[in-house]
Amino acid sequence: MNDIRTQYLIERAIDGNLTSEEQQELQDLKTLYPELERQISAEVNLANLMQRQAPSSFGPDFQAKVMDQIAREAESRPVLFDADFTDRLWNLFPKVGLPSLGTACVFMFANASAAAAEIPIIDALFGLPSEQLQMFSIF
Amino acid sequence: MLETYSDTELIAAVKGGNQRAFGEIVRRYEGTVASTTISMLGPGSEAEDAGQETMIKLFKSLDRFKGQSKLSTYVTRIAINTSLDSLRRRKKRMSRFFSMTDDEGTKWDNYIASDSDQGRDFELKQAIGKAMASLKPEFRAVAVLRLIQGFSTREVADMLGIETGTVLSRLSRAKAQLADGLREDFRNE
Repeated sequence: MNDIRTQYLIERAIDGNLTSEEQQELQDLKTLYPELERQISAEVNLANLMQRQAPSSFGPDFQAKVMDQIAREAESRPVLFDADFTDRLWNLFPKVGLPSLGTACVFMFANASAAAAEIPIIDALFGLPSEQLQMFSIF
Repeated sequence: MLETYSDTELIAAVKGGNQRAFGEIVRRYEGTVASTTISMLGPGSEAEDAGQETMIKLFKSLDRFKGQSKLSTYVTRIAINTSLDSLRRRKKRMSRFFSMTDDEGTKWDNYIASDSDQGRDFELKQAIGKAMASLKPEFRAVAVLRLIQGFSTREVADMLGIETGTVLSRLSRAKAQLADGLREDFRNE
């Protein structure tokens, strides 16, 4: 008696969840196959035996090991703005930040001059004499 | 104090940054995780590593845990999947060298030999351990969840992402194989 339906009924019977129709169906099967009763009881015994004999602990240090691992992982997690990161960023300033700032200033002044002289910014940057670059007009 | 908290209260405390509350969750569910990973992988460091990995995964995923299932179900799901991953890694690592079943049989022998209780339970544990080790991983997972952890076939199907019919057929074969293994073991004595 190993078909899926019978196994389903056996599992439901073990859990005590049989509906009245299923109960009747199982009863009919037991009448037809008297060995089914013994099979169900053997399966219940097997489950009880396995539950009783299952290992239930890793040993006394398990909890401490897990908490230690969690603490170590929290420590090793990279912090976005830690001291090293800020230092590296600051060291980059003379190489990248300063030239960028300078370039931005030149563009800003050229843009202001070009607007005042009503000429394209490219002319203000490369083509015009210095008296027409009214770069301080914005101040 | 934390021992009196419900699972829901403990989870809320962990989310609020209380790591001691997670320590209580570990204490509460060590048994569930141990019976799952040791039954799946055999006793030893591999099962304990899988147990620790389960707890770390639980800790990291608690923020996403919305309480749709019981915490015990959630923990067991992580434990069984972590064990299956370990078995896959072990298979890749070792299949060329020797049989997994022989290896696990030896592990159970060593584990039982270290047990101070050498009576009837000793023989039973040994026989059950070896019978479990003889099952294929997918059958073993169903047997652990249904027979040892006592989940319904529907819950087992949900946890493993398979159909209930597949659970029932695997369970039927696993039970028959376990019963044969146990009978064989006791007949030899």
